[in-house]
Amino acid sequence: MLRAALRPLRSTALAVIVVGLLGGAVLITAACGSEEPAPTATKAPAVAPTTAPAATATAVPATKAPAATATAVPATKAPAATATAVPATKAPVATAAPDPAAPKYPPAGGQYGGTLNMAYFRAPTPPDGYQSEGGFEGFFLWINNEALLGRGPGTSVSLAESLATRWEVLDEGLRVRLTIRKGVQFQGGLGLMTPQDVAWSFNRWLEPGAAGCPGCASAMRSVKKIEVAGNDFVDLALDRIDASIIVKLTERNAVIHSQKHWTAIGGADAHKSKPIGTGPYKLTEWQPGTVIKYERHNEWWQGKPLADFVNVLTISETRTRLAALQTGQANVAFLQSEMIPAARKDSNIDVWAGDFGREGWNWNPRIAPLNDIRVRRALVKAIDRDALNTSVYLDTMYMSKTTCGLPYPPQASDCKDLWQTEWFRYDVAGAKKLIEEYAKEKGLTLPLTFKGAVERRPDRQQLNEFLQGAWREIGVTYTFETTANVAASSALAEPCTDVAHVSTGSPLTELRLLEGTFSLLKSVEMQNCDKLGKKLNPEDQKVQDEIEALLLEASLTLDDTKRDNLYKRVDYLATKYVFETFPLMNRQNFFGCNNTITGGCGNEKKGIDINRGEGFFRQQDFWAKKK
Amino acid sequence: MKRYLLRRLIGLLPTLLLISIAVFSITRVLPGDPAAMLAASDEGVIDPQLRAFITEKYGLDDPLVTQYWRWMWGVVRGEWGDSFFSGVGVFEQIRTRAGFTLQLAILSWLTALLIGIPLGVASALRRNSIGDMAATSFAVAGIALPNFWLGMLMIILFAVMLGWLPTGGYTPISESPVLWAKGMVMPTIALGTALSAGIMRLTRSALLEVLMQDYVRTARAKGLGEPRVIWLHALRNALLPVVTLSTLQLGGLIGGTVVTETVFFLPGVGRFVVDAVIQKDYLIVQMGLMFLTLGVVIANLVADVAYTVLDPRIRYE
Amino acid sequence: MATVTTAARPIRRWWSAVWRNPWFSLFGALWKLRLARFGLVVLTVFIIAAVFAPWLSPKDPIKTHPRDSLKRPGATYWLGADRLGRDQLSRIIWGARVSLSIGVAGVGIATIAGISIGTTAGWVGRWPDEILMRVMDTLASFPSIVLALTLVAITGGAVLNIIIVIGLVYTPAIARVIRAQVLSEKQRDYIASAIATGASPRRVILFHLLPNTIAPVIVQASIGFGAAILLEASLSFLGVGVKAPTPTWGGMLRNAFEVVEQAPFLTYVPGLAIFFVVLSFNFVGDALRDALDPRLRRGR
Repeated sequence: MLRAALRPLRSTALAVIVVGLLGGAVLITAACGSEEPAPTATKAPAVAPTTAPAATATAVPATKAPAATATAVPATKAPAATATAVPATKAPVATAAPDPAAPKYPPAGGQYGGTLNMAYFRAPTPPDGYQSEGGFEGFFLWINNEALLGRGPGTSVSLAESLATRWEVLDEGLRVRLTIRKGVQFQGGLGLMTPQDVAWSFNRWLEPGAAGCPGCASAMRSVKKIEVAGNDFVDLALDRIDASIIVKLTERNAVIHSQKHWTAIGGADAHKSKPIGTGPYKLTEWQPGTVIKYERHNEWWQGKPLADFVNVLTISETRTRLAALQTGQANVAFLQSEMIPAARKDSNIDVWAGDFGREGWNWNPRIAPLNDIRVRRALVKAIDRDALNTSVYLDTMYMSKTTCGLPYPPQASDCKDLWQTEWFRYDVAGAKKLIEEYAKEKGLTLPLTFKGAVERRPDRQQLNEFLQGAWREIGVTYTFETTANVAASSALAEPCTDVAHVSTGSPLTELRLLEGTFSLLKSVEMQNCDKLGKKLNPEDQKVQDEIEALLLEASLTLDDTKRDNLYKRVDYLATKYVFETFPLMNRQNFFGCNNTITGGCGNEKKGIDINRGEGFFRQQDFWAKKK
Repeated sequence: MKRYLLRRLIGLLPTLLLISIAVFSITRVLPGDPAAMLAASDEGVIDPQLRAFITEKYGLDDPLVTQYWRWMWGVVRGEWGDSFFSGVGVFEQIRTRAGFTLQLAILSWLTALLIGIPLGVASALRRNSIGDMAATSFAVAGIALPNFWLGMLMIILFAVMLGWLPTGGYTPISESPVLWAKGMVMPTIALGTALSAGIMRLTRSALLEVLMQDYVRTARAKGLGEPRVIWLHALRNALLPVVTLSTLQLGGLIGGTVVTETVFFLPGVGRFVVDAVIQKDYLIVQMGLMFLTLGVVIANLVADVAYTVLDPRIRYE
Repeated sequence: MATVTTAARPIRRWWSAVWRNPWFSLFGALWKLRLARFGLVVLTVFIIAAVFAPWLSPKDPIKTHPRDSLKRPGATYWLGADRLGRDQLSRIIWGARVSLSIGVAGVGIATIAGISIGTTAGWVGRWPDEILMRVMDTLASFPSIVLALTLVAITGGAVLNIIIVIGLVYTPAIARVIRAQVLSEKQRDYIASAIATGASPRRVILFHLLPNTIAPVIVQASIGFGAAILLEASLSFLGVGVKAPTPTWGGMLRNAFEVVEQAPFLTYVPGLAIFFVVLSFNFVGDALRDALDPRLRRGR
């Protein structure tokens, strides 16, 4: 019946209805379907800064531990159990001077409030600070977390108070006593931070099978036990002297979380998306791969944070990220090489370069043909680093011909005799000769082959295609697998079978981080190699022994200069024999800031302000400009 | 009619079961141990204790059949599990992105209709003229054009050279209708071109066929003006099969969103699954694949049923 | 063996089908159509480029000259150089080899597999038919690129694996087509008479059934070539196709997209290559369909 009635109208009416419904559906899904990359800076009501925020105790650049009067005797191999008396060091009592590098109140032309949008190129895995994989940059960690100690401004290692106000080294270097700050509130109204929270946070790293960041566990490997002493102190009991334990208290392994909250929400898994820390912003929402949202922590002990909301957007596509910066969708964005020229041309964007790190590779010197220094040298000599810089990195990297580690004094190491002599100088013919010599001696035919693993990042992919081309010229066929991230690449290299090259980079903001070499030498990968009977050749073994001895000695040396010299020697040896992360290029990380809507962009401190611990800037460094 | 629907639905079930088995086995065969990746540190050092712990927790060691049933049971109950990497519900992640992909697909479909039908009508009415040949060339070229290349060319022209449109990214309509529209123009055109070419050909041939029918001749003989003949009689009957047939292509559109979302960097299921496949994030790959396939199957079913309902010439028993 | 005369055309030996069959004059018929002619010419050019790549390409396609990064088209690099200084023209020519061979081989596998499965299903009928077709339906419900993407990521980017995956993706289409044909031809008298005269089923299928059912498959395959090349290009574009440094058109587009601001000229040629090849396959396929269909009808 109905059908008969409809028949004459059927086709037209139905077509119209269908199209109309679909159009409506489209609009509805567009409006509320997905929550996507963050809004442009919302016009939050400006809060006029009536008074300077009540800074109870601001992070004050504490002076370094004064030069020890009697340094520990540098042990050659095993540490002498009886180290000479290590003087207790005391931090000065906090004064009320604000940190000049990070204004806590917006200057003229700025205002409190608004949303700070930061665009990064990859998503962190859980942003709670405890359970993340891979490189966890300061971009995320210090938005909602704080560690026991902080970093002061400047290019030398200066420590500042944070959640601990004071540290003392007791018991001849075997005990570190930390005075815990009072009056620090956890986010979300979860109450005061207590020494129990501190002890519990540390103890997580000492538990076997603890989730996430095993690098943190190895950073704490000299710690035997953690105890709460009285109402004010937490003691770290060490099993040997560790010269850098204090500095490690500024890093991820010293982030303090709330024990009450952790147990209340059900442990590690739930904490991934609902962490509670003490930092200026509290995490409200995490959409993996899209955005991480934070809101202001009103009871932050350092005062009032400059923004109402902070969003970290994940925009892995370089072009889109730059576009977001240009339109104002993002206030600050990480820029990759391809976009630097365009960003520099744009007057609304301030571009600055951050810390120096290394771009290169981890090679396994136990897998042939990399087990011969001649081959390794030849592979380095075949690379035209200038051409690499212009073609792959568009001239945005820094390529040192004189240093191995950090390229600037006083931490620069002198490696002129590596880069400027036959050892590593670019010379295709020379490299070919070395390869042929090696092949003849071993009775192998060219081309030699070896395999690598590279993450999906475009610049690393291009780098490896470049290497492929360069090494083809000298008779080496290099092939590589593409993986999701550096961790996956390392997983491929772990069994010590055929993957001998992992393309990677590493931050090297201070020489102390060369300690990581130690964990590389003793990694699971190397243990697997031992099981398979793959050894270093004798020449390499000698060098490795020397490196290990130097690292051990350095961890016992309390004198900063002496220790740095030891690390520089490690760097030199590891570079010469291509043992650790080989510094093919010194990479700078570039950031752009939209200076029309964001204040703090022109701050020239953001040049080489490397030792902030939390990266080259903190969220407190930016504020919304007054419209 | 109802019986037909019921039979179709029931007939789907074995296919769905096979699809789920296929999806499950595909992803379980993926090389790479997610436990190893989760247990790796910054420098890539893998903690064996942690890895054992994770393997146990997610039951990655159990026999495959057990894992399959556990997974299916969870899917049916709506617990799609938490991604290995992010720990956030897979269902949640796919749901938010699915809304976008659906939006893109429907918009592209509408665009294809809006471009294809007028072109087809025009070319049918002016047979063998320049316009017809141009339109036919467009139709032929549109199918051969790789949609990601078309996207790139549009980006070069409109974003890089002219600067009129953004190079990618998505703004929800609730935030800025203008930016939303600007962001969606190029993706919908890139995605819809191939479909619009097909629609144009279909419209042209359908309209030509209809115009040769007796009742059209009758209408002309009756003295009705040409426009009225066309619009009132011919087009209505010609468009019906065109629209309904084009809904069958919706499934193909969903597949095409994969590449388009990559080129324009859009937050949809397609790109999400691509990233997950490369990351070897099992659960996401499984559910994403299931979702996309189900979407295609359901779209085809709906289109089939719509076709049956709307076209009186087709009758299934 | 006695000749059985029926209303339909008997085909006794398969080779007599060749010259009696209008296919021989098919080429002539195709040539007459302008579009198909264009398609054939273009395809021939590309096939020549693919086969004679080592002699035709001016430079080594894999050799990098990083100091010439992103050079515009000119004397040294006729079509320009990419980010690592590789000659685009050489890469296009070698890319033809890779892309065409993958597409053709893939569809070839699909054709063989599809014919086997479709013929079995159509001939045997009943539950093997049901099962086989269900499996084919399942395979066909996956959006082709998502399925190909997943499988290639699992099995790695070796060329052989990609060929097999593409074959897998297009098998259902061909299986369906030939099954439909087999089902309709099965009832024909000439088949019945062939069986009656004692020919074994295998002989009947191979010599009697297949020659008459294969026409739509050819049409489907020729259009499938275009789709397969497009699929391979998409896979390479997404980064899961053939591994570097082997040149492939999709991979070239991928690299070009990264530097699209600095060097937009790198995107034009690979895309055009894909476009023309797919277009040509479509023209030829369409012409084949027009040519074969009425002939089949007439031939009955």
